[in-house]
This record gives sequence, C-alpha cells and structure tokens, in this order.
Amino acid sequence: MVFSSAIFVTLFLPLTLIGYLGVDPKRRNTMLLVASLIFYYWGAGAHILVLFWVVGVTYVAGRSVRTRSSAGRWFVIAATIAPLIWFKYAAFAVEIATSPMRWLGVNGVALDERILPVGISFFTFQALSYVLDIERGDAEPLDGLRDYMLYIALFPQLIAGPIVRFAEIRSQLHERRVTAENLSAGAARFAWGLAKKVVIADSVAPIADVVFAGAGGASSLAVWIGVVAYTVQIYFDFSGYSDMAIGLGQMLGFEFPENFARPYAATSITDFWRRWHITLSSWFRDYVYIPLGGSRGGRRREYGNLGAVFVLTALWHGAAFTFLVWGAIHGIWLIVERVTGLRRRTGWQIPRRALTLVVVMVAWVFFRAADLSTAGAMVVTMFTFRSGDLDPTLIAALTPAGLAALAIGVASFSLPGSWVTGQRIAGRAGADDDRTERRRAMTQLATTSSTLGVSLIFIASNDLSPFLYFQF
Amino acid sequence: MSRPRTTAIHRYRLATFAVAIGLMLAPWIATLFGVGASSVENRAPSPFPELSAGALGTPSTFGAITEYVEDRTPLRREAAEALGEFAIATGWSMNPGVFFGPDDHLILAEDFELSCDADAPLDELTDALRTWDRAAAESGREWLLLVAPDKGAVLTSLLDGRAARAAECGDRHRATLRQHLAQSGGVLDLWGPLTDRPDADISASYYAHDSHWTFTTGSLVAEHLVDRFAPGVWTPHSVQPDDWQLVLLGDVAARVGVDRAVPVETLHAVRTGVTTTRTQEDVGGTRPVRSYRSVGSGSLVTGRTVVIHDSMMNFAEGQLAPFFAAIDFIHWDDLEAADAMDRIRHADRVVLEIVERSLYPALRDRLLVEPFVKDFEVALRAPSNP
Repeated sequence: MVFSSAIFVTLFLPLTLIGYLGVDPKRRNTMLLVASLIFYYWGAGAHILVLFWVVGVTYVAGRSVRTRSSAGRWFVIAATIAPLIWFKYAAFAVEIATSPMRWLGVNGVALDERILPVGISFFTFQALSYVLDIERGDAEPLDGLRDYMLYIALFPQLIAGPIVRFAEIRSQLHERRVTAENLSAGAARFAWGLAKKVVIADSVAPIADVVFAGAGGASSLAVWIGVVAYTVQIYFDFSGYSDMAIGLGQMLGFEFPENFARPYAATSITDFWRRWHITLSSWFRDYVYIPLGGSRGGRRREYGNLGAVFVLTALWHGAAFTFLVWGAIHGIWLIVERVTGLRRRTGWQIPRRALTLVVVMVAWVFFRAADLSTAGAMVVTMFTFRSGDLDPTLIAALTPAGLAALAIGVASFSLPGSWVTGQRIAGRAGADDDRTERRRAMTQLATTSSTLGVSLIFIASNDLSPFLYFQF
Repeated sequence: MSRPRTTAIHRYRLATFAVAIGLMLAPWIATLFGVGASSVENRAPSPFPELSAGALGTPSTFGAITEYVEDRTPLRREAAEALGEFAIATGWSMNPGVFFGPDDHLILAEDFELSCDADAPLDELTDALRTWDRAAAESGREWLLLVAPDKGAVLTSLLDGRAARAAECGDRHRATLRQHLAQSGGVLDLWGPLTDRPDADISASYYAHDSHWTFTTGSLVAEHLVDRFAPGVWTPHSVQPDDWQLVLLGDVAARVGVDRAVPVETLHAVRTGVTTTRTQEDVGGTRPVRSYRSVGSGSLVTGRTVVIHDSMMNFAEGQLAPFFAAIDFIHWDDLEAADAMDRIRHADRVVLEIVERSLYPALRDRLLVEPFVKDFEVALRAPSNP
C-alpha cells in the first residue's frame, strides 16, 4: 500500500486517523501497531516474517546489550542485516563472484533475483540504530516489545523513510500530544507531499521514462530534457513521500526529522549531502564514517572512509553497477572538493550551484539508466551537443501539463534560501503572534483543501483503464 | 510554553483536519447520497480473490483486493471526467497518448509515433507484395492492400504547434512508405484522395473525438475500392442515410477520461434493381463473419470477395457491400477462428485493410512473418474453387 494509492487515501488513512483519535490514548500505541502491521502485510504478505525477524533480533539484542561480548555485537549486526543481504545482494554478489568464469566462457552459477521485502533497507537501518544507540548509551532500551515493534513498523515511515533514529523518537513512543495544531499542520504537510508526488512527479515521469527507454531521439536536447525531468521527478517523488510521512507522523503526534532541504540549491556535493536524504546521510555519518575514524587519522584515511561510506550508500540504494557508479561519482567529487578546498569556498554561488547540479544530474543518469552502457551513451550525448529532431514519443510526453510540472520543478530549484515550502505550510517557522498564526491557519485550510482535492482527482483518474480504444 | 490560541485559530485548524478527512472519505460519503460505483472502462469489475492459507501469504492477493475495492469506489469516473474536460477546455493535455488538434479534434499519439519508424522493414514489404502479386496473377485472383490513413496523417496540413512537430517524422517516413507501396499493383493509396481536398473536408473526414473516419469518408473509400475492381459500377446517389443513428463513444476522448457518446448519422447503399441480404456467422472469434449477397439487374463486382479488416472498415461496410455479388468481412483478430485462408482459397478477390498505425507493428508481428506471409501466398496461388 503506497500513500498515493486510492485505497490508502480514501480508506486506510482516514479510518486509521479516526480510530486513533477515537480510542483511549493509552491504547493508541496498540491501535497504531495493528494498523501498521496491516499496512505492511497488505503490501508484503509473508515477507512480514522478515520484519518480525529483524524486530525480534534487535529487541533481544537491545535488552542484553550490557552483557554482550564484541563477538556478540557482530553476531547481532550480522543477524540483523542477513535478510537484507540475502534478499538484496546475494544475486549481485554471485554475479560478481562468477564474472571471471563468464569472461572465460564458462557458465557460472546464477541466483535468481529475489522479490525484495518492501522497505527492508529502511527498517533494517532503523533497527540497527536502536541497538547502536543503546550500545553507545545514547538511549535506554525499551521495556515493551509492543512499543519497540511500533518504532520499527510505524506505517508513516516504514517503507520509504525518513529513517528515524531510536534516540530521536524514544520519548515520543510514550509521550506525545495530538493537538489541533498538529492535526492541521500534519494534514497540510501530507496534502502538500501528496500533490508533489501525484501532480508534479507523476506528470514529469513519462518524459523521463521515454528518454531513458531510448525513445526520445538521439539529440543532446532530448537527453537533457529527460535528465532534467528525472532530476525533477526523483526529488518531487521522494521528498513528497517524506513530506507525507512527516505530515502523517505529525497528525499522530510524532515529530519526524526532516529529510530534504532544497538539495538542488547546494553549492557543492558536500553541501548536497547535507540536504538530500538527510536521515540516510546522517545515519552513515554517525554509524559508519565517524566510527571508522572520520577525518581523524590523516587524509588518506579520511578519503578511504569517505569511499567506504559512498560504496555503502550506493549499495543501500540497489545492488547494481549503475548504483556503484552513481556512488562513485558522488564519492570522488566529494574527495575532490576536500582536496581542492572547494567545499569551504564562499562566493561564486551561482556557478557553484550550477556545477553541483550538473554533477548531480550526470550521477542521476547512472542511478536511473537500465545499465552502464545506456548511461554512458546518454552522458556522452549530453556533452557532445548532437543535433536532431525530438522523437514524436518525446513530443507526446511533453504535454502542456507535463511541461508546466517540469517548469515548476525547475523553478523550485532556484527558490530563495529560506523557502522550504512544505515546512512553511506546516507551520514550523515559529512565528507566534496571533495574527500570523491566524493567517497561517487559514493558509493551511486553503492549501490543504486545494492540494488534497486536486491530488485525489489525479489519483482517481490515474486508476481508470485507458484501453477502450483497442476493443473495436 | 505556547500561548493559548484564539478560538478562531483553533477552529481553522480543526476545519483543516476535518476537510482533509472529508475529502478523503468523499467517495464513500457520496454513497450516502445515492452515488454508486463508477463503471470501469473496458472490463468487468475485478472479482474478490479466493482466500486460502497460501493466498494470504502473497502480496498479489492484497493487490487483487485493492483492485476489487478501487473498482467499486464511487466518483472515480466523475474525477477522471472532470480532469479530462478541464484538459479539453483549456487545451492542456495531461495525457501523453492524446494530442489536441484543430476543430476540437483529438488525435492519438500513436498516429505520429508509430509512423515514425525508421527501421520499418519496407524492402521486405515490397518483396512480399510482389510475391503476393505473382501468386494472385498465377491463379487469376485479384487482391488489394488498403492502408487506411490515420487521422494524424490526413489532418497533417491543419496541425500546428506540438502536434505539427510530432507529425513531421511520420510525414517523412510516409513518403517513403508510399514509394514502396507504389511498386506493387495490389495497393490502393488513399492518402492522396483524402488529403487533396479543401481544409474543411479534410477536417470533417474523421470524427472529432474518435480515431475513425466518418461514414462519409467510408463512402469515399468504398467508391475507390469499387472503382478499382469494376470501374463505372459505383453510383454515388445510391448512398443514403439510415433511419437510425449510431451512438459513437469517442475512443480518443475516452482516453482522456471524457465520455463523448455522440449520435452520428450512418450511411448505407441502396441500389435500384439490386437486392442485398446480410447474414452473419458466429465463428467463435471476437466478432461474427458478416456475409452479403447481392442479386438483381444492377452492375455488380462479380464473384466472391473476402475482406480482412479492422475497425475502420466498419464505417464503409454498408456502403460497399451492395456493389459486390458476394462479400465476406472478417476481422484480423478472427483469421484462425474464421478459417480465413480457406475462404481466401475459395474467393476471387481479397482485400486486406489495415489502419496505418497498425501497419508498422503488423509488418513485424503478422504480415511479414510466418505463418501469415506464407499461408497468404499459398492461398492466393491456389486455384479458385468456387
């Protein structure tokens, strides 16, 4: 069940919210856990057993943290990430391991790709943060399995983040308030995120799809259009989902961390990773980079640590060489910025933003393309300025609505620095005079009505089968 | 600690949440006011899946339940219709599958996309056409390939903006296609007759919200077909309007979610001194085979004629049939069910009609590949056995 599906928006969510507000506050965690497990089971089926395994292993590990040896620590980590490795990386690892045999013309062993349990990368990392936070003394273990399972399975952030660290949310599992302010701000944030996903991201998606399928034409213009479309799509899709998650959490009384801060306004790749998927990059920083030594131990060590983090970041996104190249571009550029001192430079803001954006877009080509050769050919086309007509399929995908969505997306890259729209609408800016609050409350009512109404129309119409024509 | 807020602010906040819940539940609230589930285009509503222990472990079961619920969710059709009407009213197409053209014409993107096929096996097509020409000549049989021009191809001189740019590639390739087709004697080129006309006639040759040509254009097609087989037999005054109207559900409009069910005048030919009878045979395919037999003192295209066709022919069938002594219409989807090759072996004349946008994929997956390419040659070459 995804947030932008009709069944979620018109049934699961309103009924869950009504039920949540209707039950005795003492029973809200139980109610929320049941709803979250239904949510997950609906999309994952028997893979829910993987969720239970990860919850079980890390819960027991959290309880026994002070009596555990170093070997026990690694056993817990291995047992926690074992399903992730099996489902996500086993086939890729076998492919790599047997590639020398294939080069020699010998048929190697191959593993079929597995159907990935939904959200496994997210909940595995959350579960690890529980064990590691307790181990470091940043948080006390939870007494009850119910609340721990709720932390891992909480439906707003279960399948696509943000990755909520245990220390950030522990107290909220027991003490949180559902206020009119939270309900209103959360609803507004959810509606905003839904519109970002179904109105903007889904409108530009066909443009990117055509170009990455190789059907847009052979010109540089066609490839640039597709890459810009994908740059808009992935941001509005993912940040829209994060907005929805944060808004849902707010309606339920939780405060989730922000996951995006205008990433395409970054002035360096270092800056980009402070703004893009913030909860993942900070997770790697705090649980991998710093424990490995961070920038302590000399430059060579620092760069090695950065390289390790970006290999892991790439693999976290997917088991494929294309993701590794994407990670390598970011990792290498990050090191270049450190070597040259670019990351500390000020001034030349616009050229630096433009350069960063180009690097990010080139990297997106590898992130999105089906294979390395396709990605390589696209990047070459981008920078060799080939002329040629746009293919009719691309012209068809460039609908007025798609172009408008693309223009809105591109314009959003250059918004003023203080303008993080989702947060502004949700009212976290902290103004506290009644007049401002009243205006904000009215704005929330207006934006929620309009964005949610339009999004629901988009969702409903997208579900309809469009193939009547072929039945003649 | 935050200051207590005024009642107005509190009310706005509660209203925001209430509006959100209300909008989300709107489809179900609508049922209280008698609004039923919207019809699902093109298929029956999904059934509820069978629930077994095994099925409950697979996500597809819940996918099926989701589809079951969504198929029965009210207001979906209305939502799609609202969006489609907005798109048509503003010219802001949201559907990559549909272009907005002149005079309220909606045009399928496939009209432009499929005709822009630089790798189309046109040399192979020419070879096949020549082979079929020879096979038909050996048996003394007539045959004809009729490529029905797409709306996008015929309206091309009237297009502007995005649609005009999308049409450019297909226009270039069409010229090449026509050159290849012209190398065969068994091809009827209709692009010329349909486009060498005043703009108003070009615009009126297809229904605005549908991909098909009109019954009037169907008459023009019938005239060219009859002239090809029996010059002088066609009599334009024989074409008359029916005393009933067809409610044509615009297929392209349906693609943008809009219900454009428009009554249109239908035409058929009534010939003085000719009596035509129509029978249909259910062959267990997608459509029955329609057979027309005409007798009388008027001139007729003699012998047996078989027409393999798609939906474009539906708009010419009634005008065409009374000019043939015996003519059978078989849809492409029913070749096997109707044992079409056997009927061709017993026919004196064969017409293959295919719409332009279907030609390109058909070259690769039907016309130029086994079994059709060989079976058709064999059937054309077989001695006619009435």
